[in-house]
Amino acid sequence: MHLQIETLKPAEHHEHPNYVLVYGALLALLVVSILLGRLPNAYAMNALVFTVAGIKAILVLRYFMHVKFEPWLVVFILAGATFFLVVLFIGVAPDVVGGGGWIRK
Amino acid sequence: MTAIAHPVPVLRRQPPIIPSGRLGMWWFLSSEIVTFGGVVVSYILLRLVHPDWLHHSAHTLLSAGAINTVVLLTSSLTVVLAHRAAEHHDCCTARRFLSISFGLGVMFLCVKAFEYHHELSHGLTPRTAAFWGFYYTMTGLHGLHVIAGLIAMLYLILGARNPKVLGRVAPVGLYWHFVDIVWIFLFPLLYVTAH
Repeated sequence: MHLQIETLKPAEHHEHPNYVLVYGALLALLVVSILLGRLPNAYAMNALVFTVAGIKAILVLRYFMHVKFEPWLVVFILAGATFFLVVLFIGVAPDVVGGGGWIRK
Repeated sequence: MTAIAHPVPVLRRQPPIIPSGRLGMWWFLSSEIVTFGGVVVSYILLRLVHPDWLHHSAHTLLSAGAINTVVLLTSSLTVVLAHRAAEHHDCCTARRFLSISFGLGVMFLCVKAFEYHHELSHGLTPRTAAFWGFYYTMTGLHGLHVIAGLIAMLYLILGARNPKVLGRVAPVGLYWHFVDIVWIFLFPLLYVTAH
């Protein structure tokens, strides 16, 4: 007996956000980050500038890369890679910054 | 006696939760996070223990970095508009937006080449200091990714009339936006916090 197997196509279409509005927000945040770079306090300046960079990255991820409309699997894939990056940072930081490293002397 | 035609039974499988091309690109991008992230993490850690790097990093061109940020953000906008047009099977509009994105990508490389020329002519080579080693490694790796994105975009522009090629705008677009995100972090790391 012949059997025809047909794989249904996934739903491709989703609503499109206002991309020009997102673009405008990204440009505004760029100006903000340049202005924040003039702050005299280095710690506050670094914290604020990288917070703004994080917000810009999230805007691109959510609206331009459509992570907002993707299944949770995509978020897990990205979070997994980021997790290992954090592990790398925490694992290496004591050796570089602390001087003593992980080995108790 | 007439023969009875039996219809062929059809087994309908559930669709994948995400098209395989896009899923493959997401997996690839997760590996890219670790590639770029490894260099960036090393740079941050070494910069924390070398405050004198501030002296070197003050020589990067903030204006050129800002122009390149605007160029890449604009190219991300045009790529996502091309993606929307491709979803609506509008190959002409998709090709137009892809061509603009391609032009912006070339412009990014031209500004970067001008920066390199300016820095090298001032004797700021990768051997000058560890900061410049990181600077050329990070921006060079990013530049190679831009070139790869441009090649992929050229393939889409040339084959936009083919619906199969047009369907690949989504994964290529994902890649291009990722290149944009990397620059979003390189800009404050190498330009803003240095001035």
